Amino acid sequence: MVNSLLAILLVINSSRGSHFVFHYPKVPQRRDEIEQIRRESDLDEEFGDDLLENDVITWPYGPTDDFDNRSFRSRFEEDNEEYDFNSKKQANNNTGNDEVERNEMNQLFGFETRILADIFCPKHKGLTKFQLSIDDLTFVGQPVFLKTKVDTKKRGGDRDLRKRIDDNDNNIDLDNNEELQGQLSDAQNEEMSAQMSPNTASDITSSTHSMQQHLHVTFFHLVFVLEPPELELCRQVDDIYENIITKLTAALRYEQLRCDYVGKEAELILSLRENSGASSLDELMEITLEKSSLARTIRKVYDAISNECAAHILINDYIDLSLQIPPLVPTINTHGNDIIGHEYAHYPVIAPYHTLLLLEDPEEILKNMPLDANPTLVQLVQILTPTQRLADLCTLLDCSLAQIFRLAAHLIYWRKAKIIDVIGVRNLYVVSPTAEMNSLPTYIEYFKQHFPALDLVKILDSFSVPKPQVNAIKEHRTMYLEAITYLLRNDLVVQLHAYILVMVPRYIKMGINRTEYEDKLRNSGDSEFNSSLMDDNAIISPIEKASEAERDWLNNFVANHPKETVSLFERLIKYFNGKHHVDEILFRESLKPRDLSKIITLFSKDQYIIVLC
Amino acid sequence: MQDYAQQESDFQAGIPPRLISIFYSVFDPSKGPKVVFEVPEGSIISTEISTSIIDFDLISEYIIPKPQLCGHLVSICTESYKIMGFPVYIEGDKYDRNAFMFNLSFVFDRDADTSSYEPVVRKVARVLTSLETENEFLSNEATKDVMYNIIEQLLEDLNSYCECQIPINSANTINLKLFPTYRNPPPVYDYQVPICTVNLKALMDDNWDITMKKIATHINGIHHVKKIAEIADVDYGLARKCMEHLLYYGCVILVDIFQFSNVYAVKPDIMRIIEDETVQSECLSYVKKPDASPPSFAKLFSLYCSLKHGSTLKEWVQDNQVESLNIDIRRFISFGVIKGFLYRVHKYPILPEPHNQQSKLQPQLRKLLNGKHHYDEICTMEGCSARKLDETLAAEPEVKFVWR
Repeated sequence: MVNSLLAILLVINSSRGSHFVFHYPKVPQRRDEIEQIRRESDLDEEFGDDLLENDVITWPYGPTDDFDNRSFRSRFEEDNEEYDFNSKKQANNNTGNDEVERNEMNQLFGFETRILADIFCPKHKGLTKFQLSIDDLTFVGQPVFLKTKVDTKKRGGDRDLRKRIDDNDNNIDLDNNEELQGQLSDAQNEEMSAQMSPNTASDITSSTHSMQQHLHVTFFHLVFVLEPPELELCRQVDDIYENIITKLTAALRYEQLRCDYVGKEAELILSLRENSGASSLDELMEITLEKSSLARTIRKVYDAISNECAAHILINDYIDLSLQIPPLVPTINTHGNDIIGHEYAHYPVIAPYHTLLLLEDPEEILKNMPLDANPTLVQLVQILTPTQRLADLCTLLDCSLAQIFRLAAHLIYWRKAKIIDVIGVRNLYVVSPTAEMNSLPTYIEYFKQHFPALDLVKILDSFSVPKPQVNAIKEHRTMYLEAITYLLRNDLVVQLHAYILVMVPRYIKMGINRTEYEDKLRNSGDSEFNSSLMDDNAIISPIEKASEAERDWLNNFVANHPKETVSLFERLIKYFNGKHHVDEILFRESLKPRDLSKIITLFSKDQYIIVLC
Repeated sequence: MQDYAQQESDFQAGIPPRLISIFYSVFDPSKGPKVVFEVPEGSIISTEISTSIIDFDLISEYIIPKPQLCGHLVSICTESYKIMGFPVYIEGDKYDRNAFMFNLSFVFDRDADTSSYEPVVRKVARVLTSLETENEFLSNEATKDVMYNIIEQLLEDLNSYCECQIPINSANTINLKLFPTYRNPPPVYDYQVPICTVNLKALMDDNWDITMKKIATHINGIHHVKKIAEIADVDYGLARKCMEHLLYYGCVILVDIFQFSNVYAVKPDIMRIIEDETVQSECLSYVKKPDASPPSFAKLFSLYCSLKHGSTLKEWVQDNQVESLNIDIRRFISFGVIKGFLYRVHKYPILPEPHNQQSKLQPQLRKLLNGKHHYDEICTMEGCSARKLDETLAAEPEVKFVWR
């Protein structure tokens, strides 16, 4: 479910034309490059492999595009002197060499930022969702056209007017035409310099224009750049649009209308670019991030989304916003609740015997909560320990279990916690098949510092055979539990659960008696009579669907037993279908493990299976 | 490993989307961006009786864009449609304003996955560009109306047959074919074993790539990729590439190397097959030995459930007297792995740092003992058996094993 966010751009339109204000990161890295680096670091050093690192599949048309691009550009330079071209500019780009560094300020993805600013300012004002793809890059955003109270009419006209000039009077809405004519003179009088020549208006970004006049922002657009792999485009665009773009844009719009936040920040960033005297792009980026809160917000959102975590931001010290692409989106083939134990496949099923494992320090989580956070949630985060069941927390927090579930779901949704079973020395753990071994040295180091008595590799080694570690770690019990917590938090180990399944003789399941079954086998004819088939079993039907014969067969097991055993048997038999693990059964029926094993021993060895998974 | 349902739906997704409309637009020296031809009629140009599905004025800046954007594949979305085009800018003194600009745009539903059309849109633009530069096909009064017939046939043929062939003149023909797009396959490793899902030999013909033909005949569900490359006398890298191709088209599934020293464990998904009778009968017919009556499914199920961490296949065979059951153990295991309810528990040797530098192990081997490489991988690389590796590593008592 990785997303392919490459960069976030901010574009505005003001009384002085369109500006490409800011982008983060400084040099966006394309997927091909990332893949190449990953592959090289993965394979190269160890294997010195022959073909792989050179074989990264790139778009076959990549080089030609650059060529086209370059040639068009040069033609363009000759033909259109009205555009101010920086003579040093080069079209082919996007690798991090020195030459690019010099031009980077005005270049992104091989396009001049001025052109991008223009592209991201759509003519269609009613457009809510902007989505444009250029080759394998996709640009998504929600353009905001502002109508300030004072000069709504003028600003609107202003923009159209500029468009009109830019486009050589070709595309004016007929409806607006009259209105425009009226505003033309009006606007021209007020802002002569900007209005008179489109040249000055459009080369604002590259030229060092004086900034005495305050920017009147008429439009802003936060554009997210994605590079999704095949077949992922729609999903990624929707994910990021619904969850991030609409929310962030709404907040910025609110702040802009309230106190001209975007306008002021844009002005600040643009003036830093002109006047900071930064010698390199790195320096400029550093200064910008230090001075501008909007730039820091954009960075924070970018960092969080591209690393798949949640961004908690406070826009202009005023609007609290938590943004993320939700994890674990339910898939279509969800089986509902009928299979318990699939925590890792879909949205987890929360049960009272579960507990929450916080994925960050409680202090860190509390720090990111807004000031008006639910007090019960704050309390819950403070008292959570992975050795206490959610059901036990009700009494401590004095609230209903349903409320605890809701809070738990909230913490899971925001990636602050995950569901685990209560940690205990009797639990069976194995090393997770998806454990991330690249960080092994870090984990080993952590163990040395925090659990000096335990050796990580030895512990992992001991999980090769799942068995309770009761004796082995008697003297370090607390430390062992803490170590397990750490391992679970980092997805290094997973717990195994025991499921019980009862097997019935096949003829019972078929609803016939033993002799009839024997006859049937004899008459089937196709193969010689196989006596081993006589003892064949079948998996028992779910108790609510079980036939009369199956029930009778089951009841026979407790025919001559005391009343308590019979009632316990009847209570438990419904769980023996492989859908409920032992811990769940014990919790639901509030039993001791001893009681359960008493019932299980009623069956003979080949009449039940215990599955560990 | 992905389960079958996921793979099915992926292959569904590869089907090309429906093409709603095609329109051809140019930059008119006096009127600016202008739609010249469209099919079906009324989709872009509004008439008195109907309004178009797309308002051209609102998107014209992306259809006939600034020259910098020309030569790129550009898609723009409106409320409910996606318009994909490849704007072209041809410079020349013979044109008014010294340039000719055109774009042949394809219209789809907004949510359509258009990856399969991308090469087609690029190609048409390329062909038209060369037609224009060579014969002034698009700008000449005599031939420019042919465009209407071309886009009409394009729309019809691509929607109906996913391919199309349009003869233009004695020298030029537009040949197009839509290929379904699938998800890129994961990288293939030397130690993986391909199993065919289709009869490759029946599919093969003379036009196949020679390396692919050499390799395909050696896929038997037993040999790993490196071994296949050796038998077929093919470069290792090319063998992997071939496997990736076969994987992309769903012709093979990759599993682990079958050995009796392997350890397998079940996943919770195994409970799903209790009620799935199609999988059960599939399982029976897949794992039974030819001409022998298989055990009941319940027996197979309990055998699967007895595969667990900490016991090797060899021990499992002995404990359960599997030999007497008329089943093919290799197929029994690969069935579980392919269906996704069984997984291989790999053995990862780790030599903790800092270790004794005087170690008897080869430095190259020592480098691999970092917990990232399992036995199959190391054995394939070193060309030795698992038992041999066990013996080699026994020389270094500090080596620990993580099974996962």
